[in-house]
Amino acid sequence: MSKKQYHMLRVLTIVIIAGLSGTAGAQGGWYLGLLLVAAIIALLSSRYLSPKMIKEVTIDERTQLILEKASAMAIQIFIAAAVITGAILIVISYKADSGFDFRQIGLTLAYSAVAIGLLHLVLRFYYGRKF
Amino acid sequence: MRNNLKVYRAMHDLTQEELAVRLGVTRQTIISIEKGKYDPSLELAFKIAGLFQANIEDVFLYGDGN
Repeated sequence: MSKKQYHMLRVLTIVIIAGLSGTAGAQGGWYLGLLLVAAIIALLSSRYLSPKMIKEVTIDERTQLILEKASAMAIQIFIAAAVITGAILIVISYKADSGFDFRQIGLTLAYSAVAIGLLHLVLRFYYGRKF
Repeated sequence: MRNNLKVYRAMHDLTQEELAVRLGVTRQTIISIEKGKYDPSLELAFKIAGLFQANIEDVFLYGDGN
C-alpha cells in the first residue's frame, strides 16, 4: 500500500465514521452498535494494520513536530471558542426577555473547555517530569 | 541555521527521495531542510553528516554561516 492510498483510506474511514455518527445521533437504536463496531475496526486498522502495510516512511521527526503544533493549536482554539461561546450562551439565557434557554449547552461547553485545559496541564506536568 | 545539504547530495549523486529513504525520513523533510525551513534534530543531523562521511559542522552552519 502506498502512502497516498493509506491517506485516502484514512479520509474514507473518517467520512464513514462521521456519516455513521450523524445517522446514529439522529436515529439512535441499532445504528449506535454499528457505529461502535465501525469505530473499533477503523481505530484498530489505522493504528496497527495500515501503517505496517506501507513501505514508505509516513511519520518522522518533522511530521511529529507538525502534529504536536497542530494539536496544541487545536486545543487552544477549542478552549477559547468553547469558553467564549459558552459564556455568550449563558448570558443570553439569563436575559429574561431573550426567550432562549441555552444554559445547559453553555455550561457543557464551558466545562468541557475547563476539563481539556486541566487534562492538558496534567499531561504537561507528567511529560515535564518524564523528559 | 544554514546547511549545505543540497551540495553534499549533489556531490554524492543522490535524489531527495533516495536520501530520504536512506535516512528513514519523508522526502518533504529533506525538501524542508534544504530550504532552511526545518532544522533537523541532533540525531538526524549526525545521521546526515555520517552518510556523507563529513563533519556535522561542514554540513550544518550555525547562525548566518559565516
